[in-house]
Amino acid sequence: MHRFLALATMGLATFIAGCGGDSGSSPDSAVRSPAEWAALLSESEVFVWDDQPIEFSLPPVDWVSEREQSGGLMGVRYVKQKSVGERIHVAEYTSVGKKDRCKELEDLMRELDDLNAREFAKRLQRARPYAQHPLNASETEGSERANERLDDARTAHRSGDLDEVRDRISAAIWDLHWVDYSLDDVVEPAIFTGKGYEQFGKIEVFEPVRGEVAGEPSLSLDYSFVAHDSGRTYHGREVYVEHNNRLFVASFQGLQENLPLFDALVATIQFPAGSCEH
Amino acid sequence: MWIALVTGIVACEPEAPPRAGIEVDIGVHVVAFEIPRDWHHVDHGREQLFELETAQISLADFGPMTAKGFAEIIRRARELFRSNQWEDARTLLMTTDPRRFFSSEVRWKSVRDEWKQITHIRRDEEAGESVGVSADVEWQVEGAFTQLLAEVNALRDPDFETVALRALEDIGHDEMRAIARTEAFALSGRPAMRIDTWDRLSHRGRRQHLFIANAGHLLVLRTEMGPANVLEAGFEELASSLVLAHDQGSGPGA
Repeated sequence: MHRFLALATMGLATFIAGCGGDSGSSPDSAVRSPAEWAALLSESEVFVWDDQPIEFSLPPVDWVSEREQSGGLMGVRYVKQKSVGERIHVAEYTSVGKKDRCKELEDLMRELDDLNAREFAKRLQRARPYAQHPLNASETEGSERANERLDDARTAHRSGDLDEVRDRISAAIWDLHWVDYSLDDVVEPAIFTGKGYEQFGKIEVFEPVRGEVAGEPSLSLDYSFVAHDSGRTYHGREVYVEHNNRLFVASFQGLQENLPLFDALVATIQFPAGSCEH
Repeated sequence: MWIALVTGIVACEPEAPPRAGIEVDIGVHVVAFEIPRDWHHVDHGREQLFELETAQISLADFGPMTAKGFAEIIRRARELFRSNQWEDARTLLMTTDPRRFFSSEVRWKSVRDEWKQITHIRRDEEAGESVGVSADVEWQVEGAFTQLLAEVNALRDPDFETVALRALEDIGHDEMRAIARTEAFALSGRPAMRIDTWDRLSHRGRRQHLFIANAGHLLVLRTEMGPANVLEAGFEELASSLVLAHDQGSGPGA
């Protein structure tokens, strides 16, 4: 939950910083169709923050991109210029992706010839899956089997049989491919609650709604926030989607009139194939 | 009257000054280019700098990129050593990062001792300027040169893309940045590769690089610092005007 609190604080800072700006509203914004909102988006780009690519169309150029690297997130944030602190972010929760050791094991196999016994032991230890807090039964079983294979790989390395080491690591990767999380397995700690916002205004968080993003189950949650100082009403929307054992979030904070732009962006999200498929 | 008026308007149009074309030696490369309008050019020999306010672009010789080119450097260093210019020999070798020629850390470590034996010679502070090295040290260093040359001559050259990617890492490309675009083509008949990078998270901070293989050495044009739009415009102008002299190359991948 710590990562959420950090994120919430950052969001509040954006609100406060943006309170002096102009409304950023456009007179025809309320009458645009979804297709017209989609036409406002820039070309799509593929981002690879961990090892699972995500592709989406970018907001218009007056939404300036920044690094999003806080609260357990890694991704991109777009802040609307000359607005009231409106922002969209698309990011990945690193704590979920880090549980997958596939990439570390593939790197270990590739660099095997270059490693002495000590370096190999160190790398193998780092690449092991740990399931002290498994998210589901498939993780428990997959991790146990993979670790048995990696024990065999360590023994084979001691006898100098690198082909056998490769075979055992490949088998461990195969076992880890069967680990499969659902959205419900991973989303709970990330869900927005509004905690921390009360001291700056009145916040109302609505019930999450199930949907679909890029063909994957998603969870969408809306909230409204009336700032004490400006009296302005902000709207928020958080969309969570799990793909290939990674949890992504797309988030909007700003004025109601720009919410359709966010929805248009979310509709363009795709997940190109990554290096480690589950 | 009407014709005269139109002529007058055309004549008032400010005429753009011609851009300055220039040819310079950059290490082993003989390169011609046009300096982008308003940019200031500084010739530092192996590194050419182009500056516009806070923006900076460089064009530099990154040294040998093939085993053949590296072996040539070692042979030249041995000649310097044999003529008692061992400090110059060491300086010449230290301009090159030897690790980039070895496909793995294990192979590099197999000759690291020889490399150190040559590059770690130091002058005794109390000795005169013209002092030579003692016979036993000379024998050891000669042996190290022989061993190093044998190892380097046995190396297989990596493909040009690998060379370019290793050079990219040498100039600070790390896990926080990602490759935005890669394009291989020929420039003045030499293998060339354009690689653009950007911040891995936000896709901001785009940097342009152009790697060119010439005479066994790597020539690199790259944006260094400054506003992205200014850098990109300057880079595109420089890259499109670059011409390498034709007497420098020697065959594919040269």
